[in-house]
Amino acid sequence: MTARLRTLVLERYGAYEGRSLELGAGLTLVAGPNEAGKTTLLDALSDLLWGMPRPVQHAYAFSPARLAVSARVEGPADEGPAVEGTSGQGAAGERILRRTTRGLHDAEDRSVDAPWGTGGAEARKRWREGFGLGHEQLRAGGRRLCAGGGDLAELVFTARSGRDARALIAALDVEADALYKEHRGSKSVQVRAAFARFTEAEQAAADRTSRAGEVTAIADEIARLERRAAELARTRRTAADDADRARQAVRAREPARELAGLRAERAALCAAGAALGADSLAEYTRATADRETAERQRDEHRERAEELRARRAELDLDEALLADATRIRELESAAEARRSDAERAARLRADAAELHRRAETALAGLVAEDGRSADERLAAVHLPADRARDLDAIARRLHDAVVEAERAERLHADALAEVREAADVPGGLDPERVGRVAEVRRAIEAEGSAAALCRAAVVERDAALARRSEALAAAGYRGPGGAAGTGGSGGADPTAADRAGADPTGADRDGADRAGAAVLAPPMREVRSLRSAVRSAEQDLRSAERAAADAAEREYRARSARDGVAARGRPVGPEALAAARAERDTAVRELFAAGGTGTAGTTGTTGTTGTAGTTGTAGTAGTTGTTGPAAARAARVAAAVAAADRVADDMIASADRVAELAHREAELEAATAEAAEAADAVEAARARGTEAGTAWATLWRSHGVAVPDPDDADGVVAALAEAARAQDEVDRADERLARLRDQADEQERALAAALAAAGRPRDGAPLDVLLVAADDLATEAEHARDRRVLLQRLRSEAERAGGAADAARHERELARSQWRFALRGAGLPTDLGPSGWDTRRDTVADAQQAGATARQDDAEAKRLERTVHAHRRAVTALVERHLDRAPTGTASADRLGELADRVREVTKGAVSAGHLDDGIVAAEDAATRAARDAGAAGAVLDRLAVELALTEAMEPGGLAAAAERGAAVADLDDRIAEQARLLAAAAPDLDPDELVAAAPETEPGALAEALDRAEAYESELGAEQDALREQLGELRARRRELEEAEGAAELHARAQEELAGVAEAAERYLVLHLQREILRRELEAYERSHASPLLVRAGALLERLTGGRFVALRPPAEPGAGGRTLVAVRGDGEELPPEKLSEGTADQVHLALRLAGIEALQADRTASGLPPVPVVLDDVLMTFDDERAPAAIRVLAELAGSQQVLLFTHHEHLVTLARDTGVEFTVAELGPPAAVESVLDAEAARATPLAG
Amino acid sequence: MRLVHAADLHLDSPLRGLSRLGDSDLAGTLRAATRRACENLVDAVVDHRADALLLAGDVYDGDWKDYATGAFFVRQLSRLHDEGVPVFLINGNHDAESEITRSLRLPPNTHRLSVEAPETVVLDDLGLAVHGQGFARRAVLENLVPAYPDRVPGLVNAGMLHTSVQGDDRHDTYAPCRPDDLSGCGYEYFALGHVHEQQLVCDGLHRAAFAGNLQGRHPQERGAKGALLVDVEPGQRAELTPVELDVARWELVEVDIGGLADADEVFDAVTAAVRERSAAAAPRAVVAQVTLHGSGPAAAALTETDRVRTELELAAENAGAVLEKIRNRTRPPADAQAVDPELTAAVSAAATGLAGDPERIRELAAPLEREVGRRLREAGLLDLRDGERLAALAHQAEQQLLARMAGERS
Repeated sequence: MTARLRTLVLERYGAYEGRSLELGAGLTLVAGPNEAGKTTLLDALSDLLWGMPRPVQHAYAFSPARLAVSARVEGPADEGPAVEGTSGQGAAGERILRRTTRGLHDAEDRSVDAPWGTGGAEARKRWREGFGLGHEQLRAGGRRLCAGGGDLAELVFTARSGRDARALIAALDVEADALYKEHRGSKSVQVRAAFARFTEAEQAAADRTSRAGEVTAIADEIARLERRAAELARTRRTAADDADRARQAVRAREPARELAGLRAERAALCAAGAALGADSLAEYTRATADRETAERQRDEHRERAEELRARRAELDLDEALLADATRIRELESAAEARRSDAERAARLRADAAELHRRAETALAGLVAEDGRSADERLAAVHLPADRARDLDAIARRLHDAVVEAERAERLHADALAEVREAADVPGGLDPERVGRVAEVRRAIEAEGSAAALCRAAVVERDAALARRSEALAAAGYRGPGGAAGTGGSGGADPTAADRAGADPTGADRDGADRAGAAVLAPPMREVRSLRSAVRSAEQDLRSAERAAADAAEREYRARSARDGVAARGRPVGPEALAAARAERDTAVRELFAAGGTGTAGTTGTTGTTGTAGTTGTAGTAGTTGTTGPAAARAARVAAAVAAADRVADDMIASADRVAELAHREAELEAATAEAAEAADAVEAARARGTEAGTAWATLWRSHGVAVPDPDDADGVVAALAEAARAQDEVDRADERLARLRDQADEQERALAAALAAAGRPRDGAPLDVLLVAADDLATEAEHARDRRVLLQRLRSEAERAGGAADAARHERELARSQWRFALRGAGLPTDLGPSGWDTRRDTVADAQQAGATARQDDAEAKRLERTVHAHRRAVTALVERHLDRAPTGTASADRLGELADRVREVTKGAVSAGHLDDGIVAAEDAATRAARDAGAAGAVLDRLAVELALTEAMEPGGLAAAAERGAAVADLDDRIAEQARLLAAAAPDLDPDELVAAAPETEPGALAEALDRAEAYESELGAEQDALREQLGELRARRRELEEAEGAAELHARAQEELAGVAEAAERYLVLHLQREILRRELEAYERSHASPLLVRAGALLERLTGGRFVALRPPAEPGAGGRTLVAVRGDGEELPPEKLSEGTADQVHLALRLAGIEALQADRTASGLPPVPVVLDDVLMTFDDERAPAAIRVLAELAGSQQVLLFTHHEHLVTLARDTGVEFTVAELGPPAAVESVLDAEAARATPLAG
Repeated sequence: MRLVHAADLHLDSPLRGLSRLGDSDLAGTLRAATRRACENLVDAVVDHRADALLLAGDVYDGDWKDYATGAFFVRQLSRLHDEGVPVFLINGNHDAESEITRSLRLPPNTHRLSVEAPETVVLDDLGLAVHGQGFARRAVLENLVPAYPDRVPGLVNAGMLHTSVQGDDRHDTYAPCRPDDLSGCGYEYFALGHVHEQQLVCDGLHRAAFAGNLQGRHPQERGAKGALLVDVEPGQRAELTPVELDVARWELVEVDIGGLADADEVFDAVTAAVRERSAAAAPRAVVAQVTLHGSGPAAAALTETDRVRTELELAAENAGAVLEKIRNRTRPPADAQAVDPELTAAVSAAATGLAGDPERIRELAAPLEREVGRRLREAGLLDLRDGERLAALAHQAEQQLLARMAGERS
């Protein structure tokens, strides 16, 4: 089952539209010249099969969405309807498939799956590489393949099943290499990485391990050191005790000596006489002291009593004065108050007098000084309170009325002044006449009036003229005479004319308007036709120039190729052979001509040749000399014969290059001709372009317009049409103006008359001026009316102000009369004004107040004077009783101070006397007590003396001497006890008695020396002990550390796990390594003995392609270091590597390999349920000679039995050769360009040399 | 009277051949398996109210020196001391030269019997006389039993000896003796150590037995492990009851892939088998060595070692087990469409030839041997010089290669 494309249609693709190519079911030769659109055709075929690529190619004439390629497909009819009329052709029907960017569709535009399988970039690439080949690809691919590379290499170099085995080896390599590589640099391989982890973990475990033996050793050492430490501690304690005792002995030396001395002294004292014991001595001492103290005190107290008595006798006491002392102190304390009372009374009296004077003065203005008292006169002017209040109210009313009346009068006066000012109005207008003017004006301005219509027409006309000017400018209009601008008649701007007040329809503008009316646009049809002519001419020129450039490029390439061949050395041609032969013949002839028989000559020649051969170069030299002329001739003949033979050999050897050179030269010739042809085409196209340009320019110039760019022509035509429309509007406006002119004039005249009548004559003024005047008049009349209304209002206001002033004045008078009446009622002078009333009322009130206050002050002064007087009387009585008459005559009342001093003096003496009396009694009592104490102490002493006499023989000094000795003994005992305490403290551990006994003989130096020795020994032991302790501490810490260390076992377990990983990886590696070694070795052996089926097939094809000259392809019997290579095996069994093959043969080797590859790939497709795809070969027989090319065609025709084969060629003679083979094939010609179908497609059509 | 007989604790000896354990709780348990088993032993002594514990040698392992191991052991003995249980201990070959043995001070309840001559310790309050002699050095090659003292009448007499009775092939021959020697002593019970399987040596009136080790540490030490409860009275035959004390149990899981359609079915079969072993051993963890053998269509897929390992590890983890190793000895079906019969035959022949030429394999393995061979051999994991082992690997390589070749084609 195949899918064969029978008709390929480029609906819209590249520059083509609707071009189709009929293909045969088997082999098709697609023949056409170079650059005949072959590439486009191949791309279209590729796109049809595998889909349009992204980005889309060949979309320069049509947008990508419009690109479409379709085909009539003969093949599996499992989908889609059969094409009409062909459905009877068996199971494999025909259908139309169409490829666009949207996908593949059938004739009904239903999406269908491609019968040749899924498309896409990858499928396209595979097809291009495997099934669609150009000559260059074939050659390059072939070279790669022979060197072991390229897409077919696996097929070629791998025997049957070997293909899978190779993949397996690769997989084994990957797996094994990941596990282990012998190369030490590969640190990441599993075995090594796991082993590194193991080593690390093992080290960690070792670091953590506590050696049990070490623990034991440390424990032993600790025990030993502990024993030593205990022993040391004991020794050191002893040494410390010794040192301590030595230290005590040193300290005790002084107290011991002292103690010994004291004891000796005491013994001597006791031997001197009796001494009081401690108790008796204390008693004696106390009694002696007590008696002395008591006697002294007794004497002191007695002296004191005497002294006090003397002082008591000196004191003087006035009893009478003491009796009045209290009364006098009271008077003295009140004296100050009385003095201030007197002063205050005097001030009050003065104040009262002043107040009386003030009341008097106030009344003086109100009442006549008629001899009445001030109070009486005050009573006379007094008004009752209610009457005073009434007077106050009336006085306020009167004041308000007066103020109000003044204000009203002022307002009235102001209003009158305003009225006077406003009444100054200029003379008025005649309302009737003004009304007439307004009426006429309204008529003129009314909508639809003749004047208004005229004005509108003028405005429209102006607008139309402006548009016309714009349109003409846009069109590039130059006028019929070629002058630029719109107005030929001096730019008579119609709007300016209007503003000047001239007749809006003035005849002078007609000329300008008519000039514009002559504008005409060229017919659109003509414009389009000429434009497309211009464009296609330009397009033609571009295409022709491109074609010329391509042709030149080809010519250059062909020339380079020819030169390349020629550069390898000019092959020997027939001319050279002819020349060589002529030379030979000449030489032979000369030889014969030189005489001798043919036999002799021959013999001579032979002999000479032999000689020449042996002598080498000397033979040539011999032609002129030693060997003679015959020999020289023979040598020349021999040389000529040899040269001729060499030339003939060279010719045979270089036959291939001669053929190639001929071929290159033919190509060059063709390319040169092509280039010339292309240059001619360019010239022709350029001429056509010039012609079209001229026609275009003529058209526009004939319409007075600048020649536009073809693209802008539509705009110019439209602008000209717009100008014509604007001209029509101008004409219509002019007509309207003419119709309305009479009526408008009549209205203007009426307005002028009305203005004149209203006193505003405007003779000869235009309508606008008249209208302005009418407007001013109306405004003026309006202002006059406003002023009149204002005056009226001011007058009425002035009247209202006058009324108000009158009312105020009346009110004022009313208040005045009421005031006067009230004054009379109160008995007051009638000429008293309200302010006078206020003054009078306040004055009376002040006078009354002053009188009352003065009276109160007088009464208070009287009371105070009485008090002062009583005080003075009491003082006088007491002074006279107790004091002597004053020699200076001072009043008794003023001697209170003196009296008081006297009282204080007497009182003080009385107090002192009391104190002295008490002191005397106390001193006498104390003296008595002291006398008694002295007696008691004397009794004690007596008792002690008696006791001493009874116990001891009475010694000189008696009791006192015994007491003195007793005191000395006691003192010594104290000192002995003190020294014994010191000694005990200094040497608590030594026997004090021994120390005291030894003290006198002990040397201080010996003691210090002993102490130093003991201390040195002790410190030595201490240092040793410290060192031991430190050592023990360290050992114990280390033991603790070791004993407490945990986790080594776990780390060890982890390390073992890593090692297990190493073992696992190593084992796997070894298995894989063995596998790959075995497989690689066996596969190589197997491949050596099993040729690839593809290579077998390629060998068979090569045999046919080379006509049996080469019979097989195979890897060389002894492969080189490079591994995969191929050699071609010649019929005679010789193996030739590709580089030793001729170009044509190499191409045949490559074609054979490729065709075998195609068969294999098609078989793969068939195996996976896909039909074979078309095979495209482009110019692959280029280097095949006339024998091998037909052989290749036969092979291809055979191949075409199972698949469609398209062979592109630009060599016409290949078709001829193919015909001679007698095989069945179809020819598709890529002919000349198709006929032009339409103006728009002309460009595309010219670029299309493809014909069905 | 109830005695507990245990031996061969091999404290802190790691489980062999486990890789990729990770850091799970289970991994922690496995790493400390011998210690946990020892703790279980002490628990069992207390729980079963035993009167004494007999430890017949090999408390420690090899030349392991870590003091922490000994300290751990002392802590366990101290627990028994606190419980008032006396312990009798003899040195095994592993203990003889262990630094740990010499460094430890054992608690007062522990009696380490002399290594110079057989010693008898009598505990009158229990009515127990224990006779035994430890190893003074690593290799004791003479029979110690003839020198053992006569039984003490009226007491329970228990002998202790570290020995390989009749020269067990799998254990080094130390202090060899015959069962008759043992029964001839007339002790009520002879507690033996050194052989790691639980094993009754004399089954008459005077019984003698190996308690086996406490915890299996590699595939050869599979199945339940623990101690023996010995109930015995003077002059009576001892009653022996095994007590399981191990925390992880080694199991071999063999699956025949014949009849299994693909790798998934194989994985399912392995999962089921591991789960079954795991359930039987619960609550202990199971350490499984999986062997796939037989011939079937899954053979090719099983050559994907990494995938197989991952799948089976996952299956094991789900079943509460870990995998020690997967041994793939499967073959492709005889009718599998091989790459090419000729090539297959050549490969097979070459592999067979290679298996018969250990020198050649040693050559191929030489770089590996130089780098890691010694450590692997010392750890008992892989001996790259062992011709038999290498031949086995070559055979394995052949099977797997053929499976892969068949798989590549299919």
